[in-house]
Amino acid sequence: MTRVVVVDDHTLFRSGVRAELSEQVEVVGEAGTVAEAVRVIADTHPDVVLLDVHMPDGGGLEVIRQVAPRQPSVRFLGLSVSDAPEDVIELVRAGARGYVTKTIAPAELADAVTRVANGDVVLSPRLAGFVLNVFAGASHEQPRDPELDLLTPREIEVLELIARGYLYKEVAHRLGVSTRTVETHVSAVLRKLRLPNRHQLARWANQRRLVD
Amino acid sequence: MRASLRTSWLAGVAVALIGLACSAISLGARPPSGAWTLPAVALLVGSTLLAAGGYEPAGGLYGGVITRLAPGRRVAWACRAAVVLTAPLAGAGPALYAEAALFDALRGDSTSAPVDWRTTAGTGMLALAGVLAAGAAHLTVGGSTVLWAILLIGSGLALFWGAAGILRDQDDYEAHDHTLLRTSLGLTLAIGGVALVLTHTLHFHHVGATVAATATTLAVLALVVGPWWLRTRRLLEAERIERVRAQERAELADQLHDSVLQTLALIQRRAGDAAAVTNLARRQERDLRDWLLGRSSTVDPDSLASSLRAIAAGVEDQHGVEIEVVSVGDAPVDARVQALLAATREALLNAARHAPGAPVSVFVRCEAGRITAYVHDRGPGFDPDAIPAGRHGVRDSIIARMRRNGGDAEIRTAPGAGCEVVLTMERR
Repeated sequence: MTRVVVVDDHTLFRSGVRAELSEQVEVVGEAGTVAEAVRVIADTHPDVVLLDVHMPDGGGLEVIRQVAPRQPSVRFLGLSVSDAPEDVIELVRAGARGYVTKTIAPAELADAVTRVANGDVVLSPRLAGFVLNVFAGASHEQPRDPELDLLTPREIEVLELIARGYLYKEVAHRLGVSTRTVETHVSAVLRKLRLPNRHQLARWANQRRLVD
Repeated sequence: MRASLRTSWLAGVAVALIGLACSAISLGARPPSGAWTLPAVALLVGSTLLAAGGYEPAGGLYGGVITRLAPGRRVAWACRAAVVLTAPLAGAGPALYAEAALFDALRGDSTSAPVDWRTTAGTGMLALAGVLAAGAAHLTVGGSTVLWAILLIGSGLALFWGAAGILRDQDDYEAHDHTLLRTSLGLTLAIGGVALVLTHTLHFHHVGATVAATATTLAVLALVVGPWWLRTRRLLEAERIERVRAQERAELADQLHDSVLQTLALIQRRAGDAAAVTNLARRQERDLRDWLLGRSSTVDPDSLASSLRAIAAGVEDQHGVEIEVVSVGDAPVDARVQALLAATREALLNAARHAPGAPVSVFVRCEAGRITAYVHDRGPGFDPDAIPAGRHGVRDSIIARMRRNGGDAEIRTAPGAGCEVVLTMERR
């Protein structure tokens, strides 16, 4: 069974998730602050950490920054109150393998946790659209920089189908490839998103004062 | 605070230099190496100060009096030249200038920007250099004491009066600083002039003692006034921050009252109606997110993305469905885009009607040559050939509308496989 730690500063939400997920996954720990989360994750070595984006003392981002270098095998799934990519993009760039909204149905949450535990990426249609916007802007506005590895046509195709509301297996079916291949494409996109030389993304973040 | 300390330090140096020059003259001391040393020093200090302060055409150079009173740019420069050139002639120019400043202050029109104090001091030093040079070349008119007394008192009072009008309604800190410094500069000059008259015409013989007494008085004044000035400044700053905070708080309170509290009240009243509560919560979330992201909640009628969000929000509210809106790029709204948006709305309404409760996605991609919209629902789907002849919804409002406007529409569906409407529109 997948071992999960739930990090959220709302006790009510944590106990709700624990109750909902207890059938499908094993919740091995909970934390309400960044310091507590770092300690609990170090003690329990979970497969997946469900991580609230907005918390005091730096939020989920700070947890990833402190845990990721020491425990690279731990995977993070962001939890956000809204579906706005603007809220979670820094978390994804720091290493979270996607995010879900807090309104998600229990079965879907369990499914997302399992997928992340297996090394997959949970990409919402809005996040896919956001990534497309970031890379589309990079290719239109500036002369093409050979060092800037933009998305391949196939990756753009996959992202667009996700943005259009198709599930991974439907995307695979439409493109005539395996679900595994779709997941590989999505993981590659996420890796490119994390590269430090994402000028467009950096500018975008600056404009919205996400980076200080 | 660091900037203000540096400013007052510089001001101190400038005042000390001016004071040094004045006392050297009033003591009748010979310049150490030739009569041209003092003009050269004044010129150097004056240009440095002027370079640091900069010239602002809206403000002026010294008191801003000529800038405010002269009818044109050329007249203003002619007046300035006249003031400097007539300064060695028994201080005629500065005396007239002081009168003009008094007239200006009495008129009470202080709308112009105050001059940077360094500009003021620099201009003063340059004029001083001119007078000293004229003195060295024996081109001055009037006794040395009378000339210097008129110059000091005239320029000092001009500064004082020029600043007095502006000081009355201060709100801007930079301006406040500059005006205060100019006031003290003006007072120092005027006091120096008066001291000069007292020492020479009233024949005080212990001139050195008088100068020392004046300097001590000034130092004590600086010690008394300095902390008071810093405190005033700090209070002003604190008040401004408090004002900004209060404004932010009021804005936040407005937003919470108008939307969040209203919605919470509605949710409590309709707690039994799950669909209505979900709908209310969704609408509130959308509003709040727009507000947090600084996105205007009003629709920008000239942006496809903004119009699309508004259309989707309308359908969400009307039919209680959840619509995921994703757009890549944006385009101005022209007649063609308008048609595309109308067809998109029709497709969304169809999805809401025929696939109730199923998630609906709309994705719009704007490229250089064309715009493509996908409306996708995960509902039951249908057999497109089996649409009854009487139901023209899809055919007329979507396909025909798109073709009429130079676009195209395609409906991909099968029983059990959901439905996707693909709308394409070439851009002109």
